[in-house]
Amino acid sequence: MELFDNLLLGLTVAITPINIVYLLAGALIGMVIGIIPGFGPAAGLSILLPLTFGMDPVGAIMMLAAIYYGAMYGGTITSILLNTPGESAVVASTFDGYPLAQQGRAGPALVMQAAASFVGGTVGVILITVLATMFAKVTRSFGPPEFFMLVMMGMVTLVVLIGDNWRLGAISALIGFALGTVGVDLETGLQRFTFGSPELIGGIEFIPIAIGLFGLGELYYAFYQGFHRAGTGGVIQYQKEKEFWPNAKDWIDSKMAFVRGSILGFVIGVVPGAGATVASLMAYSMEKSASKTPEKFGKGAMPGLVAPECANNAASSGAMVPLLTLGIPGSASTAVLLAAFILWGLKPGPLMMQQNPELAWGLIASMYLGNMALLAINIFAIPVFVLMLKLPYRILAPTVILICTMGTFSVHGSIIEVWLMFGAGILGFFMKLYGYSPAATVLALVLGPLAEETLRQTLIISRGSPMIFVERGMSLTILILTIGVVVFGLMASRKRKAERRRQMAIDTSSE
Amino acid sequence: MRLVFTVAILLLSVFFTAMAFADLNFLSPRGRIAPGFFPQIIGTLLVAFTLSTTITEFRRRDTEPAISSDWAVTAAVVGMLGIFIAASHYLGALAGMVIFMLLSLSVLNRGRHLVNLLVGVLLPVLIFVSFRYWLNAAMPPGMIGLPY
Repeated sequence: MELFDNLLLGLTVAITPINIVYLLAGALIGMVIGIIPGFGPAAGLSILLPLTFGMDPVGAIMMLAAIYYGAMYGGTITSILLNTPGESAVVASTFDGYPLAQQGRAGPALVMQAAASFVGGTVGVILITVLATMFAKVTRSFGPPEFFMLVMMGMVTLVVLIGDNWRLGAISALIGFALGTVGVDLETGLQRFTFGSPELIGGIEFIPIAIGLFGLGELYYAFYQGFHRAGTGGVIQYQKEKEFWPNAKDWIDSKMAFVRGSILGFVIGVVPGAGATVASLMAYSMEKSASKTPEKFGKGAMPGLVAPECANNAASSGAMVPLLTLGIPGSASTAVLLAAFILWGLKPGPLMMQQNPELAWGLIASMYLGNMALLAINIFAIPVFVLMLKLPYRILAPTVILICTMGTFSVHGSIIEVWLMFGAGILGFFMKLYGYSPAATVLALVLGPLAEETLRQTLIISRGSPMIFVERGMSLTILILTIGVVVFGLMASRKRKAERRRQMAIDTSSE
Repeated sequence: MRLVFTVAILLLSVFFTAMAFADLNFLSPRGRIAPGFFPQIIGTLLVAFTLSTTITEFRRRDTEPAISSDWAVTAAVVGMLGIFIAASHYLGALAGMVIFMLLSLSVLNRGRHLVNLLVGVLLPVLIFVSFRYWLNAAMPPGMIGLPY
């Protein structure tokens, strides 16, 4: 009963005319962000966060959350129509989405991806509703050792599971940790790496770095790939569709993909650091393994599109669990959301559900409404979004640069922070170009100070003994889980490399 | 270029680590964690990883893919953003935005002078009005301040 009371409270907060407007605006903006090539939810959230400062906190958080999951819906449209994933979490959707469009089935593919996103997102929110309170109760007993282990688990998972080269991931995370040490040491008051600059005493601000690394870095990378020259009209497959709605066979073939993708996605999303990209790729592999016709995958199999779509949307919801109940962001996007919470003086964590039930449950309730709105927007506004894809990148990109720059300035009115964003943009471009992970840098920048603080507290409690991490049950459990993730990640990476070598050998022999 | 980037990260890592060891203590006199504890560990790991990556990159320097022909446009956009930030600081947000849009469109959207002029002036005005009056956000005033 308590569950329904909480949800009812959330609905009363969420369903006000102004909040519905914010929610719909967020969902639409998120879709548009997702459609822009190279842009993902983290970039969109970083750029638009400063624009929500004048708003009421509940409405602003609802809007930012809607941008977050709306971008996940929108990213797939370019995967299907242009074979250009908006961001890494929708890469798996190109495997079968684009072949479907090439076969003249872009309409059914777009409707099925909307349905899959809706199912994944809604299953994710239902699981948050049921599990968030329980999770919060468990985490109330967490002390500094558990928080430190969780932070480490998030970083290690991100480094090991994302990208092919874990060493580059580790360097990216360490750069973030290094940036996080700039400023005054809170215990002793000593200045670290400030070079006498008063602007750096408070530390390096998160928002300019996030906007630079994600927003500008992605834009420069798109220019480097020649997006401004290519135009878009020629490669869209949408005009050739034979029918718009999926047929009965599509639904029947994909029914288990909806279930498997959603549940797997949520579970992966809850693990700090794993995120939507890992979830969608794992869901695709799992669906292919479970299929009776795996040879059809990669050639336009509908379950091959549905499973990763369910998974990445469910993972986005799952990532909200550690954010709301622990205050630990599991991904770059939730790190930006955490920054938003902090800017409004809210502290997500074990007590948030008790101390701020209106906000926590209002946000969860808004996610139900947002998913419903996005399903309708997705299906009925597809032609509009297809038209948007024809907007020339050479005009769109300078406009986004203007918004990035003015958005960064508006946070603290500091031109130094704008230059910081400029530098982070160049760094983000080279990181993206050479296979580093800007997401790991941003996450480490947020989590670094927390890791340092909790490690200090832990060693004070234990009088300097690191054995405390294995003596406490929960901390030991997290440690074992982290080791499990590392072993799994390294095995998966080895398997991927072996498969790639085998494929290269086949290609060479066929030549 | 990949090797140059890796070496640049290595040099910055060495600088960070040297400062951490030179200026900050690892432990306090009472044996507790001091301000240098985290930076020294991070710096050491950073130097170790970047050094190993630099060696790897040096060994395979001949296999680096060719630089995109669009690198000049990318560099031009970065340069124009630099000009935009400086112009916003000295001339104010609106003038900076108009200069940036006209400059960038003249490079990216060549030959369409009327479209470039319209977009280059109207879009900054729209963004300026939205930020300043609708969102009530701070905008760079420039050296002479915003008269509007």
